Amino acid sequence: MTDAVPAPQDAPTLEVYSFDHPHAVPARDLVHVLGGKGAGLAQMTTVLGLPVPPGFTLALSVCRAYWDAGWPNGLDDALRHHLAQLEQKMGRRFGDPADPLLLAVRSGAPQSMPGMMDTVLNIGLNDACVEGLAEVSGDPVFAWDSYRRFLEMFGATVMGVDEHLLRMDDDDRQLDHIKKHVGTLKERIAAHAGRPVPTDPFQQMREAITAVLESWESPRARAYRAAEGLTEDTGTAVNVQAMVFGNRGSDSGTGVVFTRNPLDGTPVLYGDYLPEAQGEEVVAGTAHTQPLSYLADHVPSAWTDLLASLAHLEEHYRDMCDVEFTVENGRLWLLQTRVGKRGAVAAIRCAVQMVADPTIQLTEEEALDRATPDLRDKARAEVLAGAGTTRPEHVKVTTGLGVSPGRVAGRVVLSSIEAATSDGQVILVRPETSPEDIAGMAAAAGILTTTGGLVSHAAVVARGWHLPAVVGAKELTVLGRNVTTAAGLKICAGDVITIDGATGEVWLGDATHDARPLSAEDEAALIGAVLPELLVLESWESTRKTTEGDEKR
Amino acid sequence: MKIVVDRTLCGALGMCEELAPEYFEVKDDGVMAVLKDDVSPEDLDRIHDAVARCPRQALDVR
Repeated sequence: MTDAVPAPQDAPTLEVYSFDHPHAVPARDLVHVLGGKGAGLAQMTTVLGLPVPPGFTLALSVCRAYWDAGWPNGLDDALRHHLAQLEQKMGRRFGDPADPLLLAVRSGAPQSMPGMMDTVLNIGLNDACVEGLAEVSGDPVFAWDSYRRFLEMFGATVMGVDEHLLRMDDDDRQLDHIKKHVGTLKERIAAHAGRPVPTDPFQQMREAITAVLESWESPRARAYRAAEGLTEDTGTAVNVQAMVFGNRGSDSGTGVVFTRNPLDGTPVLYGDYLPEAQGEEVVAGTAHTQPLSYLADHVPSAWTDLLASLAHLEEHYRDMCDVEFTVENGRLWLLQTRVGKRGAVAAIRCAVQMVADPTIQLTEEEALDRATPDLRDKARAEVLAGAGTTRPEHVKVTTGLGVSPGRVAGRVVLSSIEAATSDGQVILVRPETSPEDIAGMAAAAGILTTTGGLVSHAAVVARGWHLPAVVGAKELTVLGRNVTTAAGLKICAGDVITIDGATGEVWLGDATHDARPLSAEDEAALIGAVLPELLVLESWESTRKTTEGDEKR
Repeated sequence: MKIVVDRTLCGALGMCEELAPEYFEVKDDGVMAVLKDDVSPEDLDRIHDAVARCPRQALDVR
């Protein structure tokens, strides 16, 4: 810690806590002090020991003090003190033109409500710092686009300029174009707000914090609290957090990982990694991802830390989790953790295996609640469909990335409109999907995309809807009314294909079932071989029913 | 009826925005914002649809 900025002595009541502050009680019980988001960040940092990008929380009491008597005495000193600690942890200085530390400022009331200011990212950028960011990232387009986003957010949410005036009206991401747009933005904000965007990083942070505090009393927020009968005197917390970047050279990158395979539930890590890139590129599915072993081979220390964090998470949530992470110059940072979405087969296997898992110790009762009868039926159907041996006439087209399990056949449609208006089973084949494809995706029996990875839009939606999907089938090209394979095979709209969302395989024709139906015995044998966990659940279920019956008697 | 978002689940995928753009918007920073959370009776069917269609089951209306 630096000696230059001592802890403020004269303002003992000013509650500003770093995420790793040793609170006397578990942080999750401090929502009334730190707000929802602040308690969550502190919980992840202290109780779970996860490498969350560091930061600090202005407690609810600071908001109350602000509304009582304006910007509190000593708050600037407290901010400088915490900022110095943050710089120390990150090894970068706020406002350093050579290698600037950037911050995100977010609101965090105990209960989320409309009308509150949400987020300002990239605080700390100005005309000098943007050049430094371009230099250390080796990516001027990224640096200037970050600057553009900062100006848009700051102009709209902090300085109150109508956001429609600040939108970039085209998708041209050429460097010169973005630079020109940044200039236009600065002029427009100055003209409409009556003053320019501050260039001093500390002033930027101070104004963003003020905007959050002010938004607590916005008419919308007040109206909401009145309608909901929420008390007026809680206030909002403000969270200030360091931003991390995965595009700072060969020992940086970004990725996503599931603690177990979300397709079949086997307890092996499942995910992908994109070296030298920021998170959005993974989600957009525009870049070519590497297997997780790449991280193990190239940044072994970050890999070891990742394994430890994932073990903690499963133990804490007692469930399969998925994690978005960034590696910045060899250091691992977790950005987002959630309980992971999974297919029906995976849900069954996870539930049963977690009963036997000594770190999770699910009860049989909990396993049955998680593996609902609907899921069990679905899993059974998937196992039976997947077992149909493909006959020789089924020409395999390609193998993509299976991201949502289930084997399904249907006629090829190449647009969402076609999918939504077609009769019968269709497979929607697209380069990628976006929210606009919702109607087509809802109507399709399966989805096949030629780009994208595990967390692409198509993959996440398909898993959520339990819709079979194969993404990233790179060998396929969608051209007009046809799909061409690397081998020159042409598939036309209306042709029947089959996709297997577990294995990623794609065939011509209907390869979903064997010619002869299975006898009950063969079916039981097949389930026993492929998904024995289903039989285990059924035996628990019958035990539960018997016990309940006994109790009623 | 009010819209409730579970922020630990929301992935800002934008499906809700597509179904009810006057209620939901995915902002430039990748955070989904609820533009108004009070559901008018005539919109209730669409909001129920958005809740049911959320791939991460992050939405509720109650």
